[in-house]
Amino acid sequence: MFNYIKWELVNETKNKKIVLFTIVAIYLAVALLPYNDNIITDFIYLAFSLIIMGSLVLGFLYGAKRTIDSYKNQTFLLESMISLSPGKILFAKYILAIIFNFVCSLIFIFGIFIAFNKSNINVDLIFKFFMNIDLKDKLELLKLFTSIFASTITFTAVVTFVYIAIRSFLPNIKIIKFLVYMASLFVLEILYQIIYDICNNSFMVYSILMLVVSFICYIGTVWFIENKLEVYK
Amino acid sequence: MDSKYIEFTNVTKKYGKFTALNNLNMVLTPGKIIGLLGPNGSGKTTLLKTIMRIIRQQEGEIKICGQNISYETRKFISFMPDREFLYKSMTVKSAIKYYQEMFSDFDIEKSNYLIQALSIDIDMDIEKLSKGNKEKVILMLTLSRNVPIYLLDEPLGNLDPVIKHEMLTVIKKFSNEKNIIIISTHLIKDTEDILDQIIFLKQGQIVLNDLKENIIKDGKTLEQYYLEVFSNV
Repeated sequence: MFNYIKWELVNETKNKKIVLFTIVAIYLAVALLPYNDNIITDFIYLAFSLIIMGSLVLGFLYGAKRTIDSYKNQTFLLESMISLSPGKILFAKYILAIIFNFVCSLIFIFGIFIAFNKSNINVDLIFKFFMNIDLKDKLELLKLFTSIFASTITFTAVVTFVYIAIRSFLPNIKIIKFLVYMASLFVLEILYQIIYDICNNSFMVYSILMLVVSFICYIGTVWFIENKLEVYK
Repeated sequence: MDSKYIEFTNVTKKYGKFTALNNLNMVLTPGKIIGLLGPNGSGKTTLLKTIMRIIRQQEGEIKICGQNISYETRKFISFMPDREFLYKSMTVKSAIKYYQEMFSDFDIEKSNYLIQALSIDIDMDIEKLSKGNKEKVILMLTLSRNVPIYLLDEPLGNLDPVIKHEMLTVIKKFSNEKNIIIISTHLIKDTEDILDQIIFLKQGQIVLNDLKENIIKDGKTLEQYYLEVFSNV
């Protein structure tokens, strides 16, 4: 399973190296070059803003998108040859989704720091603020991050489950990913309402229940892959 | 190991209303190169993908090396699909490394022999290879595994005669009494010399399954026999 993760990471890095170099170049340009009111700097700042907004969205979405894409691109045929169980491969895909979401979130955080720095907002002060808040608040922040993390995993698990279920029953239809995301967000919203009532504002209970939902989706997805999913084309 | 390497009992596979495999029965034993012959759409690829369990039959039972078919029986099979399936970013060298890491039965000595025999440049990017050289690389990877069953789906399509000859020579060399090599093709003239057993597939049904020596004993070539069975004129 770790070999599988390694090869997926290597392949993704090679495929996205131009995108990554472009992001680094734009971040460096914004951080190091003075702003002049001309078309070049306007273009750089526009790209910078798009990267920040895009990475915020992709920090939630990219892992799910990549997971469902992996069930229809050509390497799925390669995965079908190896004797790793579908459960292990899906688990590996979840880990990859977490890693890619994390990378997108890091791109967002770096971008925000550069934006603060450029706007003469003292980043040290923000660090000091976080360091000086009391332990109880730090724990609350940690719980908040944990619940966001649990939500992203659940989103990936629900999206994958919905997508694989549709592909299993209707293998030859062209699935519009946007509709899968919308259907998954709808399911998540219902779950959120139910879980919110149960967890009584506790981030930890919320996170645990979300992870339970992810696990149920995982079991369901593996069942579909083992018993229904086919590669037609 | 069970001497029945592949056993189909009343296997039917439908795509919607189209019947791709129709109540198929066959038992394949080791020590042969088997030609799976038939026109386009006769069910050849479906049959191979069913053996790989990339697609599933609706009715009937399949056993691979004595075991009921499952993702675990894939370990008995090395499959060469009729389309690209490796990561686009791979070089030949990294594809070999991938196979070494993902398949415990990969034999690097066989791989080195095949690289020499097929004159493969291992430093090339797979994306930059010609169709013929891609086919050679995939054949090298497929045959370098030590498994009882090799499935080659249209391995000779659109290749020049020299490459065809090289590939057929190594396929013949790697056949032994402990393995089955199944070649799906409609290039009868090219493959006739190396085949030991012939299966004619017509509209999802086996219309002939016999040793080549029994088929061509009356002086007809295999191609003439094929035309008699499949030609409507």
